[in-house]
Amino acid sequence: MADIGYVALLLGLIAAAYAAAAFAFGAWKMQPTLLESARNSLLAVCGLITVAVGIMLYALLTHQFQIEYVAQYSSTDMPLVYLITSLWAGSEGSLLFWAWLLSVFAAIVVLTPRTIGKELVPAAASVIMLTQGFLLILLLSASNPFTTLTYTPLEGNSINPLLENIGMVLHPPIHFISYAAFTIPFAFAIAALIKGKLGDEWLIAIRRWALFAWLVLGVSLIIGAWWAYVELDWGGYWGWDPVENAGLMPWLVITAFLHSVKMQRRRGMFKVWNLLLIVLAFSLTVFGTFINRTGIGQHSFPESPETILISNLVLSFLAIVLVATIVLVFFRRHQLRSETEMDSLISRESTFLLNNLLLLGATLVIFVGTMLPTISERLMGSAISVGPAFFNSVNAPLFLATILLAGVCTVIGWRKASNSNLIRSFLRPLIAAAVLGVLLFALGMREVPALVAFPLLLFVLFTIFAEWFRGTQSRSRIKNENYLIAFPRLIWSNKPRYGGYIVHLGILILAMGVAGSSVYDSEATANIAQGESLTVSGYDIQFNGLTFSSAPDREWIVTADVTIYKDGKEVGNLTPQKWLEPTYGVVTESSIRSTLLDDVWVTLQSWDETDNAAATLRVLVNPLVLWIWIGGVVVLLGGLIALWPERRALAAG
Amino acid sequence: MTIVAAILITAATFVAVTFPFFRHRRAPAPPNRSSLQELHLRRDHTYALLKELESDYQSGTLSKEEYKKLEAQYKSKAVTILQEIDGLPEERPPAKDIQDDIEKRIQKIRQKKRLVATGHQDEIEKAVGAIRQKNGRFCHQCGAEQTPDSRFCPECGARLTVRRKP
Repeated sequence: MADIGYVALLLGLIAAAYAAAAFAFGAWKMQPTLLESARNSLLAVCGLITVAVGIMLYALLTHQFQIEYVAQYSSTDMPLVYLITSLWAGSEGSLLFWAWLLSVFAAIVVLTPRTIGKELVPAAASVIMLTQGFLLILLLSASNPFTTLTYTPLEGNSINPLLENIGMVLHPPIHFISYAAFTIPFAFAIAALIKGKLGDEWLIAIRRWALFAWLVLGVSLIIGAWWAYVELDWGGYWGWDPVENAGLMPWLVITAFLHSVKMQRRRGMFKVWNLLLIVLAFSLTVFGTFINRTGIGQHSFPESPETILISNLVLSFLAIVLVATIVLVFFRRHQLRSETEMDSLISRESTFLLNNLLLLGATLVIFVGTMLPTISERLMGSAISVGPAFFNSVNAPLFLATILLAGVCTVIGWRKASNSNLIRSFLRPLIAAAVLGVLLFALGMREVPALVAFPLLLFVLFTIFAEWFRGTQSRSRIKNENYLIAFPRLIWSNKPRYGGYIVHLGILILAMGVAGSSVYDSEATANIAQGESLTVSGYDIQFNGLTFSSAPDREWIVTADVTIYKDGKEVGNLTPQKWLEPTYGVVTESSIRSTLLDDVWVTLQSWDETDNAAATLRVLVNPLVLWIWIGGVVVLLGGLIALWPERRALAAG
Repeated sequence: MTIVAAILITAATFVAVTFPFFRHRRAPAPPNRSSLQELHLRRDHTYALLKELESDYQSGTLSKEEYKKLEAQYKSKAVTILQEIDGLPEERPPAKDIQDDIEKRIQKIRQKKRLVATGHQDEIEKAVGAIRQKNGRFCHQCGAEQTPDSRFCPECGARLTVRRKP
């Protein structure tokens, strides 16, 4: 059976190669029959990879342990839902899943009826099929999910128990959906370069795809952070590890694109820039696989022949992508000239440019920080690595400046901003921010990062509200609607724009959570006797005792009973646990009490095994963490509004 | 079993890919139609930009002078597109499509009227008029397209009255 899966992938590769060539040739020579055949071949690729995925799912569900992947990532005692998630638990499976998603998206691209950018589709489909071919080559060579063992094990390794969480069900598939979606804008960008149609057509054709990839990746990053926070024995949500960075970098670049694309649509500027951003974002997603698969930056992985082969394949593919882009841009350089020059330093254009530079600057910092261990090891023989402190101290100002620009940009009009415009728009938000700063200082806040961050966030919040208020006011005046009706209608009348503002609002809320929890977190680890308590930033954490139990799949479970008091009043009860899973080892499960003000996060580290009357608890108090997740939900909401289909005739883009 | 399955999927793929070569060729779709649609979409995008500009001006984000400059820019873009639409070779899309198109335009005009009274309506009005003129008349009973000289509708048989000016 594994062989059928392999044959399906092999046929998929042949069909993808044929489709890529037939699309390219058919578009060049204007041969509709050949194009139709290419389209069928593309759909066949989708069908073939679907067969391969189906076989893998069937093998997982029926425990075909002679397939190495099945034996490695699933076992007979796993619940159904985690058997399905085993499809993306390992690298071979996740690559197969990625390839399948890309084939589905490719099918959607060729089957979507479109009026604008139609002539770009064959070239774009050809590029997508080339990428598809690259993924299939990886699957057939270094990362074959259908490798069989010479014997059939009776039982498989179950997955890491930490992965048995709703996060495992949601995070990886969402992540791969976004990675696969990044290919589509890239393909259209290259198609636009090949066909020399560098106007608005390709941007209109990919607006939805780019926004979709951006939104899904953002959601995936938030879910990943939440998953780490609730599940890992760590208590943080973002650790700047290479895998997280690999996800954040393309997100930052596509964020830059979503902003600079407005400049091209409105003013005919930034044409090359937009193309390069899309190519860069796509390259970073491919590079992300490289980081994930080769363990770059984490620690020196034993370099197996497979990893070396994968590195070589991925790096060659990236080299081809970059060289092809540069060559194409060179040939089309005359068509890529801006239509208008920038009028003034204080204008929306310049704030958009600055926003782009800041986002790319942050991306560069993250890239260098992530790659430093590898690069230094290659060059100097010893790995130099930078910790979260480096990323935080460099990126925090960059991100705050980006957020500040979101506010500045909201109030500055297009083209040259007049002085009266500037003063009128900035005065009130500035006063609000200053009042908050003074107030926080008077209340005893002395931490400079917080004293900068909170007023800055309020300033941006004010500019957004002022913009909404002005829009509502003018709509209500013109259309004679009351404010309560005028406001939602205003948002609905220009969904990309106001959805964008809602995303900004979500980012502000999220940033507030990040600022609060990173400046004011406090931590204590102590061994405390039964009945005693530990005080962490105003909370008394009382240890009441341990209970011992067991479960079918857990040899033993120890549960600590912990009561939380604030100002002498009981506010909650927590039950951090530790248990032993025979196939995996000891697992530590945190217990969290979340409120809008702060989170109390407790884990059981160890206990006195002689009389079980004392335990070591690790307690974290993280202020405002809940706002990070709330901000994430608001970002999702704003993104969905921006993505919402417009009535065709009125689509603004 | 494996070999049979492998042969089956190979054959299925081969048939799907080669099928278009063994089929009678359909007449390729007329290129005009798609370019007309594209122009319409581009025109609508430009209108939407104008609308956004207008609301920015109304809410005070843009000064009058900037608004006028940008408006002139977008308008000249819109006019170029409208001229391109007029310049396309004569072509008669099915009656239903024209009606849909007119319906959409009317809806748009209504919406615009609700928003603000500005100059772009006239252009839409003109565009609607142009399409009506170009495409003759319709049966008042069933909506079928008529040739200019028919006196009875060939679809439903209704008597056709003299066409009024739109």
